[in-house]
Amino acid sequence: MYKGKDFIAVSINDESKLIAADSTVQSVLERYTELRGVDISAIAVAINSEVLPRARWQAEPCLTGDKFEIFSVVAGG
Amino acid sequence: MLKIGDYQFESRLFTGTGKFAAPQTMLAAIAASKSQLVTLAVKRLDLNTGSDNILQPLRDSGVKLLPNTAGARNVKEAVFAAHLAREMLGTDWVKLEIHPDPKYLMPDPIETLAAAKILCEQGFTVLPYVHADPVLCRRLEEVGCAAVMPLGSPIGSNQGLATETFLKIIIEQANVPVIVDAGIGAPSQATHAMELGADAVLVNTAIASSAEPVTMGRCFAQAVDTGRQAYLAGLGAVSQQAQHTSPLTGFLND
Repeated sequence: MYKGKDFIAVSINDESKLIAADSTVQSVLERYTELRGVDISAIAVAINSEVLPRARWQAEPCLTGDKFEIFSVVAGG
Repeated sequence: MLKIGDYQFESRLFTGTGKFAAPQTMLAAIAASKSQLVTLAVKRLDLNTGSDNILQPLRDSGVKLLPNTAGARNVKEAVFAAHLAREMLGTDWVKLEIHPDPKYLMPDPIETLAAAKILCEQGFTVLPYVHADPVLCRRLEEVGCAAVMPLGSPIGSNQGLATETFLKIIIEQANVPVIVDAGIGAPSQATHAMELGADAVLVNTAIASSAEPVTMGRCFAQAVDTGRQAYLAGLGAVSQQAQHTSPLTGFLND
């Protein structure tokens, strides 16, 4: 279905996903938040267990095997 | 005015956002409570259900947001949660809580002190949730915490100030604000904490689990205000023996 050279496999919150090989972190996050009606200004992301500052999302490339963890705020005490 | 870090609060009632039946109820109850600081938690986004998007209405309401590290079981997880929260909310304030025990949610003092030291060194404004341990509270102050948040009784238990004796010692010794957190189940208990000299209280379950959270939020606002004013006015001394309030001579027998 996909051409191998154009897509890479990553994990997003423990689900395996194929994303365009030229994706940036920003583009991945936009796609996943928009699909689910989540406010992108209200999330944070860790890649391979390192928190990635928002200022670096645009320039950060994605690599095969990257492990994305997307977090949001929820109600709590 | 209550000053914590570089921020001033008119209200000495802080509120949590958990356990409310609906986001609108939570927002209305917080408004009624006049709270200016509310806690939030950080959680991995569920890709199937999305998130409840409570952040924007809270931001719009003008309250200061205090993310917590609930769910962290050790130093590493708590520091990670604090960094996530900072990216997410744009605040370096964090309510540090590390309670690996799911039954009583007792805060782990050793992990908490170590995490507090790291986060303070990294420039966070750290408000640690701890047991009512005067020695630990001093140690947390020494590593740079902006306040301490000793518990009254277990989280969500509504048991009130089971730790009163130790809260008094903490309040006497502290050079940073003391916020009594956890276990306050009734407005009268919040009043009592404030009468003891607490700088603020944090209430969540007692408001959220009331049949009428908005009314209860208002009750807590009044209770905290009353307790604070009573503390400032100065409570009378307690004595074992009766002390008459009317003159006992010169009326019937002279």
